Amino acid sequence: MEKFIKISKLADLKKIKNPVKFLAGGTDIYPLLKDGFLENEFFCDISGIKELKETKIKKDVLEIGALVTFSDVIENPVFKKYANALYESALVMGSPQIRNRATLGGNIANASPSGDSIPPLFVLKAKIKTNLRTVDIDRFFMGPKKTILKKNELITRIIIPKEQKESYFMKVGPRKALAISKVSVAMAFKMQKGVLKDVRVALGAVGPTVLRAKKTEDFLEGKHLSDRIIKKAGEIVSSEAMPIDDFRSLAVYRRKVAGSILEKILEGRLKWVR
Amino acid sequence: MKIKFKLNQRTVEIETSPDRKVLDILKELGINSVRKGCDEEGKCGLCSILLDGKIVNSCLLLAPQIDGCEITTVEGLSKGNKLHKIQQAFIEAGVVQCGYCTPAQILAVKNLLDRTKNPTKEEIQDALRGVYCRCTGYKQLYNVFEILKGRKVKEQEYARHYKVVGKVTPKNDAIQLVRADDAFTEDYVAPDALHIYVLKSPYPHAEILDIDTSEAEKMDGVEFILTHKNSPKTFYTQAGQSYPEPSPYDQQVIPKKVRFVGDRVAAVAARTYELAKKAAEKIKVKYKILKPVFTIEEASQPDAPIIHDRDTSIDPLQVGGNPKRNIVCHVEGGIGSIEKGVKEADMLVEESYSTPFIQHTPMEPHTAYAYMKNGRLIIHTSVQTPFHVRRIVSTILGLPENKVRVIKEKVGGGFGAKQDCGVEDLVGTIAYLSGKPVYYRMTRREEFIVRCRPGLYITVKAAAKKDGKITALSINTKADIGAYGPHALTVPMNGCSKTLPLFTCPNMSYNVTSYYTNNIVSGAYQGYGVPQTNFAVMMTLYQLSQKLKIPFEDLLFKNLVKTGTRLEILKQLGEGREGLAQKLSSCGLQECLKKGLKVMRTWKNKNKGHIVQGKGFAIAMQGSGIPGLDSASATITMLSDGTFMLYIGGADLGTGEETVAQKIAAEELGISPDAIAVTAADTDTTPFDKGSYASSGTFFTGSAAYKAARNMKKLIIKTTADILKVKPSQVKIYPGGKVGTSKKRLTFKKLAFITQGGSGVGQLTASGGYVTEVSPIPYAAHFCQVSVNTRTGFVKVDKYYAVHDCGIPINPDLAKGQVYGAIMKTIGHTFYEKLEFDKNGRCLNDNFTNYPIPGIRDLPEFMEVDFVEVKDPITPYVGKSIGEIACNCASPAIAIAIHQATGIYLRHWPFRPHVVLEALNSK
Ligand SMILES: Cc1cc2nc3c(=O)[nH]c(=O)nc-3n(C[C@H](O)[C@H](O)[C@H](O)COP(=O)(O)OP(=O)(O)OC[C@H]3O[C@@H](n4cnc5c(N)ncnc54)[C@H](O)[C@@H]3O)c2cc1C
Ligand code: FES
Ligand code: FES
Repeated sequence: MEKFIKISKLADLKKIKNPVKFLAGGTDIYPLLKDGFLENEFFCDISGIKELKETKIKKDVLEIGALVTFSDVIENPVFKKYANALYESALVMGSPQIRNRATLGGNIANASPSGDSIPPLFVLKAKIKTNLRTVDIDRFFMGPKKTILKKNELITRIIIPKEQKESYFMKVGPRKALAISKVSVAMAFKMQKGVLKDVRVALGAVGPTVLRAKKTEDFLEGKHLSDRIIKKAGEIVSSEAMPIDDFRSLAVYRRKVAGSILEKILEGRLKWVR
Repeated sequence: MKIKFKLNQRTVEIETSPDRKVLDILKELGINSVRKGCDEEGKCGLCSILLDGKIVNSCLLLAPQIDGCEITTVEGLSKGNKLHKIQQAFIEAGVVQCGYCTPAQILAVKNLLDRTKNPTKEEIQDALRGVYCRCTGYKQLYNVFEILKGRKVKEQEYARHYKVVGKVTPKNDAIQLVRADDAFTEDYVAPDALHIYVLKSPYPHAEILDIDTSEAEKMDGVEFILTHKNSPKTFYTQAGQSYPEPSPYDQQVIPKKVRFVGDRVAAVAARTYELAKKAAEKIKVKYKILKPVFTIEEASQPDAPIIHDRDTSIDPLQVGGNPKRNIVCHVEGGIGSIEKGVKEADMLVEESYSTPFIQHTPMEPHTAYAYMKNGRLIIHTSVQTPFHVRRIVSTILGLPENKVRVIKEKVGGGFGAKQDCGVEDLVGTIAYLSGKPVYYRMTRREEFIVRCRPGLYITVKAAAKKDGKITALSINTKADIGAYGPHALTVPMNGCSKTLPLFTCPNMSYNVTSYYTNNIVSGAYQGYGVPQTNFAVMMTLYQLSQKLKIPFEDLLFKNLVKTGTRLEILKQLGEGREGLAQKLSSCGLQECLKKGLKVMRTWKNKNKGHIVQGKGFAIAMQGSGIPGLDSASATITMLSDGTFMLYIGGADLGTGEETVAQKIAAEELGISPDAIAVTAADTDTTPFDKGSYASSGTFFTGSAAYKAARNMKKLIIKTTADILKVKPSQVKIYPGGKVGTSKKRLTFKKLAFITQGGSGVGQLTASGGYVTEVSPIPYAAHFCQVSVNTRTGFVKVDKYYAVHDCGIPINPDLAKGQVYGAIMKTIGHTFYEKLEFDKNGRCLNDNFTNYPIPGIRDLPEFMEVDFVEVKDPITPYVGKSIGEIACNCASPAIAIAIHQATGIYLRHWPFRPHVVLEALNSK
């Protein structure tokens, strides 16, 4: 069939003349195929590009190939070590069947506000490298399902600084009560003598894209963890979430959940301090 | 392109286009085990395969991606006739019900054990979270791991005086299902069968002014198109009920007027499904759009659009329908006087409840395959009522019944969705008119948009004296039955008939009205109106007990029926005819309640910050088939080696009905179940049976098997007496297949040799038919503990304990499986399942992504099922029903527990978190 090509080396990218739709794990694309949504697309299967399946540990950074799957993230111990939030997101993502196929590159390019790897990548200060450029993840997303990627621009690697930081991820309500209850929170910080430093918080599925919760970050910066501080942080996060629901009660619910998850993460950490 | 891969250790090379799904490629290669439970969304996991040792969904994989890879499916696990140890463990654990999901579950377990020897509970949950199962409730899957570790999982056994009944024995079709041998309709479809695509109405209410199929007909490979023009004009009901059905005759195979989004407009039969679909898109339809009606309120306005007029809605039983007012049926009745009861009372509670449209989601969608053979119409199908389907199809086509054969293949879950003649009417008609083999398999989306459980609006009034004695109880139900009326009367009515008789109250009444709307068609669903009505009744009585400040259990104990109580109310509760008052032949209800309360009292509520706990419980009853209306029959023959064939008309849906019949017959004849093979549910080769609904399988079909076996026993004794030239009274049957006097015995084999030889009496054959005026009533009490997160409104079921009186659990492990599955389904219904529609009547969540069903991770941490063994004089083997009743308690038990924890009453399903939160905030 004319509409399907396969490349097995990055270098072959240059040879492609028409605009293509990349195929990685296909877990976002294939469910759409059946309904004829992508009937006019020209597909380029990238799943055979070996060099994009590797994760390299460099001196200061982790270089993750775009074709690394969520299962790889669980199985390769470097993720738990340097990117715990990403590891935790992989643990709760999809089913084993999906995780075995779904790639990080696809998750990012698909740009769903509920993409599970995205909040972790925000708090881990990831950079997205493509065949054309390298950008901070903060600048990568333009809206739901929209990124800065140009036609035929391929995500090749994800670069995460190897910082001595703790990071966490939690989400609520997969499968239960429609997609409406899917809310996720990632956070990263350094704990120095009981004080939070360099705090980053990102929220999934409560806005048009993944959001940084900057007010919450500012509030927590330099604070000693305590029950009171945690409660306050939860309230701030709830106010920062920007759910876009038709029904008011759903929006209220999502905000509350975001607050609740953040508190849960910090409560867990507090227990550990005590 | 050419691809080469290894399939179950065999090298396969094929030519394929690169955009073909691996799922389809494997199916073509004869791999049954990859099933399609969703519309290739990656959600159901039934299409799982191992790709280079990793589990993946074959519906999310294209041909080029398996080039050079190694694929394993369940077909590659067993060696010849020898099962893989995981397959064996599945059978031993009793976790194979319909078996449609079983191969995928087996692969998921294998994949986990390949990675780790001693998986934790979390790892097990994670490994199986990607495979949906609607039957088993997942719980017994944990036993698979125990068995594989070499530990015996000992289920309690019952009926000490029996050898087979009440004991754990393997389900009679389990081997076939764990191996993924040919079993389901889709496995038998000939390669030359035409595929059907149904063009459905995009409008909720419209008249077809013109339909032009000429463009579609011109397409190469399109062989037949059915529209209202060439469709049979017979009016009928799809409801699979005994004749005369208490459902209006308001449907045609393809109507001229469409009444809901999804109604049939045309059906195209073509060489492939894709082609049929393309052709259907070329059909030009001119609609006159009519004003739709979406709620009961709209439907009952004086100037409301009329959905059916008298010409198209024929009501054989005259049950108060008035189609000109959009009323399908109306019945009311009762005993005593509510007014008097309220006057006598110290406290009155009246509350309203509602339950939404809910889909059954059997993992195998509706499928049927039909063709003509020797002038007869043959239909292979996934249905609960093959004999009713034969009657309905032959009526539609004006054929004598002996020209139609319906063969029920294995059914991948029914739950009421397949009680009706839902696809056979169409498939049978096309096969008959075109003379060609045709196959129709509904998509998951079609399942979601064409049939569901009705929306019920229930008001319950209950009054009691200070001491808790109930003096009045009334139920008023309005049902939104949708576009057509199968089960319109009986579902809401059954809700009343299976709740009021729990109580001794002298003043009780019911009032039921069902309305036509332009919504999805509703019908039977496991529980048949009782899960919803019992929810309303239990909640109201609980609230009454709260207001009276007496414990709920005290209120119940004061009012419950017991063995010997005369159920006067039943006389008023016939389904479209006069009912029969019944003296309660046995009742284990109080025992169930006591047993469960004891367990529940050991659970302590702990509140931690915003997490609060509460406990709740509820009781329930159901029927065991429909006495006075339904019947079942069985035939048993002796083979030449002294083993037996048992022929039953009963349609096993994966619940173990065939095994029940087999075990009862074995017990009666004193042989092992292995000595009896079962053939079932083929209208040509097995005797009539009403089918599997109304919780009738174990009691009716089991009793028919009992009667046939008893007659066989008499025949064996008489024949042996003749051979031995003694009196029959001197002859006895001895365990292990022997018969004779105290001095001289024959083996069954010898007896068969003599009777079937040239000078014998011929093959020993005996039949039994079962009808009854009374049937035993099953009872249950369920208990739970929940945690409510008051910050997010999220409710978790922590503990669940169910106690049942099902008489004697004939298959204890399968009986438990029924209950686990029912509880998990009801947890889904209670917390999140609900079909949503836009303002034009279009379904918004017609897929598993947006209509999730419970997965293994939704299991409560603790969940147990127990039985109280109850004797009942109606039959010796006392198989009271269990499948439906188990759906009746979870919802009220959970709602009561939530009230205990938080003080809020939730009266409208589903209790989604934002609803709970809203209730908490407005407390
Ligand atoms: C049943 C099911 C459950 C799921 N559960 C979750 C979940 O819990 N959490 C979650 O986050 N997601 C979930 N998903 C979504 C999906 O699995 C993920 O988004 C996945 O990471 C997508 O990766 P992929 O390799 O399969 O992408 P593909 O489907 O191959 O591609 C997705 C998109 O990204 C583009 N693309 C892919 N790779 C690149 C690249 N390197 N450069 C540029 N563009 C590229 C494609 O062109 C396409 O537009 C689920 C999906 C299914 C079917
Ligand atoms: S058919 Fe593949 S997951 Fe449902
Ligand atoms: S046994 Fe799992 S779906 Fe029926």
